[in-house]
Amino acid sequence: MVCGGCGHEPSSPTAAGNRATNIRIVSLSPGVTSSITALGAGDRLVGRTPWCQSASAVPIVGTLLDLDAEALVAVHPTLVILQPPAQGEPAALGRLVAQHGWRVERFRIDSLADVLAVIDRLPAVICDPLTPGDCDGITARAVEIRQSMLSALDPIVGASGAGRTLVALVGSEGADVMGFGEGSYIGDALARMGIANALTRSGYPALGAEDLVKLAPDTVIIIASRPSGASEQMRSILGKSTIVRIEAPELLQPGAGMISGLIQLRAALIDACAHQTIGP
Amino acid sequence: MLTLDSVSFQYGHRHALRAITASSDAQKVVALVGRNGSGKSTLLRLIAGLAVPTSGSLRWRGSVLSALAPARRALEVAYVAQRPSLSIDLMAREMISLGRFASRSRLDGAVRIDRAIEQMGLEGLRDRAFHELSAGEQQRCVVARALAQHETNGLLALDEPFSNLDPGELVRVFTVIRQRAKEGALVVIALHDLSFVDQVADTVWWLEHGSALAMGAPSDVLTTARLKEIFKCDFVRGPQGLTIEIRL
Amino acid sequence: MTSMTNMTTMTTMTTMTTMTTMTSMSKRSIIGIALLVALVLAAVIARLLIGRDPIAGGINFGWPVAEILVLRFGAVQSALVAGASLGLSGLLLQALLRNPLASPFILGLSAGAGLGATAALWILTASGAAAAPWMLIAVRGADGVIPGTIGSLGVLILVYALGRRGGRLDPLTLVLAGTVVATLCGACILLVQSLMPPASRGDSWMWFMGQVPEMPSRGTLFTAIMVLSIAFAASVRSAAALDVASTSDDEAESLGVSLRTLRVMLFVCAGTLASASVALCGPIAFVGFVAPHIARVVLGARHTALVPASLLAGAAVLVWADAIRQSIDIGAGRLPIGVLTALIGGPIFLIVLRSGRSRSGEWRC
Repeated sequence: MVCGGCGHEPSSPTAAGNRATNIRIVSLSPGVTSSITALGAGDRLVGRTPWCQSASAVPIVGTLLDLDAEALVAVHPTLVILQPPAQGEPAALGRLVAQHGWRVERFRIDSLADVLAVIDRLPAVICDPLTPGDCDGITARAVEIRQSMLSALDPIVGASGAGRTLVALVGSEGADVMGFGEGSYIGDALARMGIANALTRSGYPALGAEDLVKLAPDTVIIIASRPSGASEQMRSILGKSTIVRIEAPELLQPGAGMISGLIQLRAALIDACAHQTIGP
Repeated sequence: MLTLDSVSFQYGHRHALRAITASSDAQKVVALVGRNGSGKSTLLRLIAGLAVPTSGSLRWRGSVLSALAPARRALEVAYVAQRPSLSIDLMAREMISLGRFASRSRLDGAVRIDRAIEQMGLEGLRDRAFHELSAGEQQRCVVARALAQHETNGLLALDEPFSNLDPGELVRVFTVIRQRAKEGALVVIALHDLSFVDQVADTVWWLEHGSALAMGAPSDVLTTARLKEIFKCDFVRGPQGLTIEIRL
Repeated sequence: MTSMTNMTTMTTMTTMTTMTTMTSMSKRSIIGIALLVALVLAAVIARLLIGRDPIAGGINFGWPVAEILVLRFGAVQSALVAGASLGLSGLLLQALLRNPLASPFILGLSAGAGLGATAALWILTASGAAAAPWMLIAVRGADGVIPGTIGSLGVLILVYALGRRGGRLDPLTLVLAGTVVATLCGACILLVQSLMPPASRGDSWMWFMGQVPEMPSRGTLFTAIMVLSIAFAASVRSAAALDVASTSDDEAESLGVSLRTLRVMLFVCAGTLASASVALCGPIAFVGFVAPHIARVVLGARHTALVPASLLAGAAVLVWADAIRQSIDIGAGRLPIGVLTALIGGPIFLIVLRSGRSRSGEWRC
């Protein structure tokens, strides 16, 4: 039974043992990499991009736009997974794939619906039908994660208590924060939970101090990518808002791997709702 | 034959030259004199065909030099700028050989370059880097380049090419200029130092505030009275030429 | 096999043109060119022999298997053509601007290419399903070459128009215009990037550091070789004029060089060379700057020798940089090529800056 747990690093990729060694995956998408790891199939990853932090023991084969062709060939993949870029895939990858007869699978990951689609489709793509129990195992894990995700996205009771909520990514102190607007996967998540997104426009706007004051969200959830004085700074700008900080970098790589981040987000939102209703 | 007919030139609103009318045959040396800012350099640039008069016409052997293509014009007139570019990376001989660019298809290039080097006394310096030479040596190289470019009956337009030369070097350059004039050239030379005008020039064109103050033979034009009026100092004319009298 | 034919054609044309000019070159020049050719060959051999083990880590040397050899040879082709194009482009710009610090970067050509590519990406993303077929072809054609080339040629025309003062092309104004336009392009690129989801931003950033594709598109490579050959021939023919043009505007005109014609021709050559290089390898800094300086150190200042030498030096620098980065393994995958060229070119830039000032006391323009 293949069960790697959520977001944990796989053991050395070469120690696959009697697992599905005939499936060798190169993932050129950090979201897909974290999904594969979350599904417990991280041991079949043989190549990744530098941005795929969830599988740091796996060799790097470059990115879609700057491919290390030699490294890619050296890891002998059977399957290449990528997120199709808007400007089209580089022809070089197409030629390599054709030459070696690798499979290619593409996953768009922009909205929440895309993320759920990844969880649904990925098991069949990465499992090995020739190894007994492999496909069942991974599919079962995927179903598990899907359940967790959906329940994490259940409408929150008393969601109006949180008021207008801003989910923001804070980098360094003093820099603008990045918000998640409507139509982004976080925006979709908020909508499903019944939380009103303070940002009604789409996209990922950079917000300065003045923007934050004008926006005046009732609740702010900070996704801090590294420890910083972000919360203190926010508190000084938005005195009246409820500010909660969560350490959930996995939320930035949308896919099955972000489930723990979603659970944290939900917990923080529930707290915020309760906080508001109790408050003066 | 060089003819200027009411030549004027303006930089924007500033009148640098006003209605200059003059002419000269070949085989002559014309000295352009005047105070700083009187328009000597501007006039020389016009004579060299590097700018077009705002009004009036300027012709050399009947053609308008500024209308000629640079490659064609370079065969008619050789020019030495007042402040030539000095930070050139070439060897001295290579720099001088740039003078033969316009006529590089001809086979007598090397001969003409060597003659120019010899005339300017630069034999020992040919393989030195140009930018390492002294100011005087560099100036002589620039003059040599113009001499290498210059064709026998052509125009030589020189803008104060003597500022860094010692007396011996000055004599050498004057000798070459007179020699070229004798062979058929017309040399127009802007001069700061009036002491040699009598000996070097056949004609003097004196500019003041962009206008022609006087034109003619040196002794007729450069009278001590006029000189005192313009330059505000005392000149004395001796057997060899003008000298300034400094009264302390 | 077409790649071999391309390389042979280019080498033959280069050799033939070089040989006709070699009769006017001195002994020093011939030795210098031979030295640079040896440097290029050594770089090619190094690139073909050095390998990295992506699984176990570590570097290895040795003749690779056929499958890998094809990839390494592809990278060599890309680096040779792009490096040579950048080297020649840099020489022409330094001659045009009478400024030894000039390079294709300073005129904003690489920024223009980046903006073209990013803008095309954004337009395509914004239209989504509504993207018309012609848009897809225009943007995706030949590895995204087309939008990049449109961008850099657009910047070229803009900077040329801005760089004129009193009807003539003024070197100082040109540099200022190039710097401003480059900054504007950079700002626009950041603007467009901020509209993209965080996950895709990382990839775009990598593009701006340049690549040396191991499987360059045939069409792009062929176009780049054609551009290089034509520009090389034009530059060799203008080599004597370039020497004269290094004096000053008045002196050059009086010596018989039509500066207007020369500048237009050089500018177009330099710009097209830079665009072709960006199309092949993305924006790579410092190669166009460093190559002419290496050429000058080895061969002196006459452009008859400098034209082929800058081409060779540029090719050598880029192939060496690619070979060196193959041998660096810091656990984060392969370093972007732009990092290597900046590490090599940056210090040299500073050295030239210092030595130039101390020698003549001021920059001539």
